[in-house]
Amino acid sequence: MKNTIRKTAAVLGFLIITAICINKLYNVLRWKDTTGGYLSAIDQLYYTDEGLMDLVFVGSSHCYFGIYPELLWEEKGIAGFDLAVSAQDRDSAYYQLKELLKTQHPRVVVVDIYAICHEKHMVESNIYRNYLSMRASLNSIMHIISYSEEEKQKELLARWPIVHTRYRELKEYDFIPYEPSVIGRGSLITWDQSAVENENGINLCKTVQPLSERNQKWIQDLIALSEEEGFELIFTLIPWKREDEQQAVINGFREYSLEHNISFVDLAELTEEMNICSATDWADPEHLNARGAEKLTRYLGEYITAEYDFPDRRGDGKYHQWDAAAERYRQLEMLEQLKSIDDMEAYISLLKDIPKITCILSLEGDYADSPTGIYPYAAGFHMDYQDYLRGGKWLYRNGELTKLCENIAGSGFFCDLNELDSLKVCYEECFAEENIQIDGISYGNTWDGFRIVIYDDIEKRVILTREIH
Amino acid sequence: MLFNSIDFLVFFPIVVLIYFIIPIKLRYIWLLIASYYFYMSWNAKYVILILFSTIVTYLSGILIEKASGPGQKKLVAAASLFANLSVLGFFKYFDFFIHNLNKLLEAVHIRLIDNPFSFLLPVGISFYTFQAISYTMDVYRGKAAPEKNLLKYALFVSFFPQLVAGPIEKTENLLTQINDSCRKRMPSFDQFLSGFTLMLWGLFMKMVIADRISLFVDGVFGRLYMAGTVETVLAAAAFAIQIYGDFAGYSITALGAARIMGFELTDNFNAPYFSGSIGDFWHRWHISLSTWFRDYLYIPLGGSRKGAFRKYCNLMITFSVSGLWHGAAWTFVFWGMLHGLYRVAGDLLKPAREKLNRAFHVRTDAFSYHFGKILITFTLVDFAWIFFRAESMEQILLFFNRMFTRFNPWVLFDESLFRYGLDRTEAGILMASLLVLFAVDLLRYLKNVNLGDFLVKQNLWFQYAVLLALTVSILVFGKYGIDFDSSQFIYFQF
Repeated sequence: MKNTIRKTAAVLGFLIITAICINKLYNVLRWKDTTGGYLSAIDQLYYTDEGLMDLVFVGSSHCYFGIYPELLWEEKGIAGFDLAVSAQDRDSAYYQLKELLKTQHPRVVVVDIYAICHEKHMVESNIYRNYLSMRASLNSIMHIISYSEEEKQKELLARWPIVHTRYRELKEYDFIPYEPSVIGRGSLITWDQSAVENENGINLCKTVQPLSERNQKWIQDLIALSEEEGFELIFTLIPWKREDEQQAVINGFREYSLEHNISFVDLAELTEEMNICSATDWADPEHLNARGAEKLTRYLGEYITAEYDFPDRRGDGKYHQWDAAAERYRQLEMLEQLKSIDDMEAYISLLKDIPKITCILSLEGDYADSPTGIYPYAAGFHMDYQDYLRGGKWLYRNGELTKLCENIAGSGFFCDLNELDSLKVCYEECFAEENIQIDGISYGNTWDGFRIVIYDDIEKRVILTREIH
Repeated sequence: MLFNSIDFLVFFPIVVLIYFIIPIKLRYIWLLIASYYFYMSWNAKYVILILFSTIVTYLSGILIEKASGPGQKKLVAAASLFANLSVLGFFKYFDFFIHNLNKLLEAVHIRLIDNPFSFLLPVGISFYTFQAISYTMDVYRGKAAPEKNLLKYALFVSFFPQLVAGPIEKTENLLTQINDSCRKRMPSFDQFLSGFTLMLWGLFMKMVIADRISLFVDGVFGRLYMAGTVETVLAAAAFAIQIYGDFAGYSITALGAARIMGFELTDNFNAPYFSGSIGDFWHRWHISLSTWFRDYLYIPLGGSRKGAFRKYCNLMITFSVSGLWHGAAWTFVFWGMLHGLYRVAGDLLKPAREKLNRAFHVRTDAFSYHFGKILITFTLVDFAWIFFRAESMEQILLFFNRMFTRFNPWVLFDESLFRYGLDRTEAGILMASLLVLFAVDLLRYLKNVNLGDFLVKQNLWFQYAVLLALTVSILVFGKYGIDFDSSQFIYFQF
């Protein structure tokens, strides 16, 4: 008997240890991307406390490129969220929304119906983004089972057959949380610019393709869900460059929505009213950039608030992620502006206002005798003139300037910028590669003068460098 | 249903669980149902073939017992043999026969014959046919009593862990255990632990080692036009490891699966690449098949009892047939013949070797002597594997052409070896896995103990560590899933 108990305990002990190890391993290997890189709207959802979201946008990349909840927060205090995944299909939209409804109780849900225009995923990784990002639950199982490609179901349900191969591509953010996936509110902010040929993706095709049974069922399922969960449902379409076949499907949906009294707004038809410019407001023919997204978000915000009331949540500590997301949005906006500023005084003035960055300043070589004089720029960081003349390396963070080392051979300093990156500054000789190193990569001066290395505390990487000779 | 599939991951625990829950007397029926389901998961239609083989050999057993004289017994045994070999010959060698016949006809300008049949080779047909034949022969020779219970006999032919790729079990081993399974209760904890360990180790050999190294082998064989001496030599060595990991991996998993249910199968591999001679190699490689050919072909042909010349002829015949058993292609026949030649040459040169050893005062008890023998044996076996792996005689010629005419040692240093399917990371994982394989085989060679039996004698923390390491390695580094076109076990085609 004693022997049996001992052996049973040994087996149970092994099973428990194995389960714990496999769980930890899965968290490392799991699919963490719904948007690109390590950015995941589903992770952002899981990092959000219960019952905070008032307005939710459901959709594909059109949605995360085109709607910035940060802006609605900043301007109206609305706690919005983009539940947007690349190439989100109908089943994913439905089950991902159900996943959100487990913890959130939005008043309004806006669904982008781009999903009715495509039946199959053209890119394998988009299947994984949509089907492997949710935590395992009955909901995620139903989500996969409802997916039409049966031959993939077993692998998707088991997950390991797919995610285990990620051992080849593991990076730091597989082991520690990627901050934008914690604080972000679903959007992807970019100022990339690409002019679109036709007028903001407007398609004049008048063909009407009656809404397919699967599309009708999806619409009806969403309506039933809204009634069951008690939220208002709005169907919308964010502009993109539409093909004739896609426009025909949309025309079919429009007819269906009129017949069934379904609330639908096609934002492509309102681009002129929104003042979206086809030359400057697009990242590519499929997606708006930040300029376009700002216009669309403001317009949509006005449209929704004209119909529905939302409480102003600003100032409520529970909404710290919205504050952080808005701050991040402003940070990115200022960094974008920084790229186009030539005037150094204006550059430094703006740089000092940017939140969540760390600057490493370096003075090396014969800069002090320069007739143009670069001290005013250093003084912009409250640098003492004597210090300026001696040269060296400084850290500028949160408005505080700290001297790290002098330009004396052998002097040096190192510190951790965060859990990932370390900064090492020293003085070997002028313009030596080792003089400034972040995580082993050299950022030192290349010429006589003042060098500014700008490090993003959120992305945890160097994003800009500037040198004044 | 492959051992390394999700289906088997579901199938096996269910089978084991029900096996232990149901009354002992019903267990063999349950295993029979599971075995047929397992076999039919490949191609349900071919169940007819295994049924045919089962019924023919079952009836032959009973008829041999009832036969009045040796002549009648012989007739029944011959009929059973003929029926089984006909089915095997038709499904496995008919294409090969027509192909060669057409080549012959083409040479003498006679109209070619259309092949009226086109079918997939039934999985495992060579294995279960040989097992069924061995039963008939054992009953005929009086070494085994005929089994009266058809269902138990059907389980003997179709027992799922060893059904599709062996080991080819003998009547006295497996059928006896099937009869015993109606009497005994649970396997011991040690049996269970060692079975589980063997299953994991077998899957590790297949999924982490064989399937990974196959990427390099396929890369070189598929792009011989850019390969030179180094790549071809490495590919030949890599294939030796691939086929070992693949086939021994299957056999060990089968051994473990059977052991979990309380059955002991023949240990089919015994550190074969530590062999000191070709003869020794065949005592360590695919032991169940070597034994089968020895007992049912080589010895009936006369073995070594009828003089040296007959012995060498018998060896050549046995190895050639063994080659043909492995596949319906001349490359396999040449592979078998090469091993036959090794054996004959080894025998003929033995006096000369001994003379040389004496003349040069070679220390035959030294490590270096044994190590040298192991190296030479591995080289010979590996050379023969080239014939086994090649898809045609033309490919063999091209392979040797690249091996002997393009000496390119610089590829060892300029990283161009990573162009053949294994990048730096994958090569690193492979090297680490090969070290583990070497350690386990060394253990087997020195202590004659397999990993399962070794582990049950260790302390709990070590058992945990080994099992966990194997589980995690298979889950993470195993080749499976959507991005990997899971290669079948090589021996399924035989």
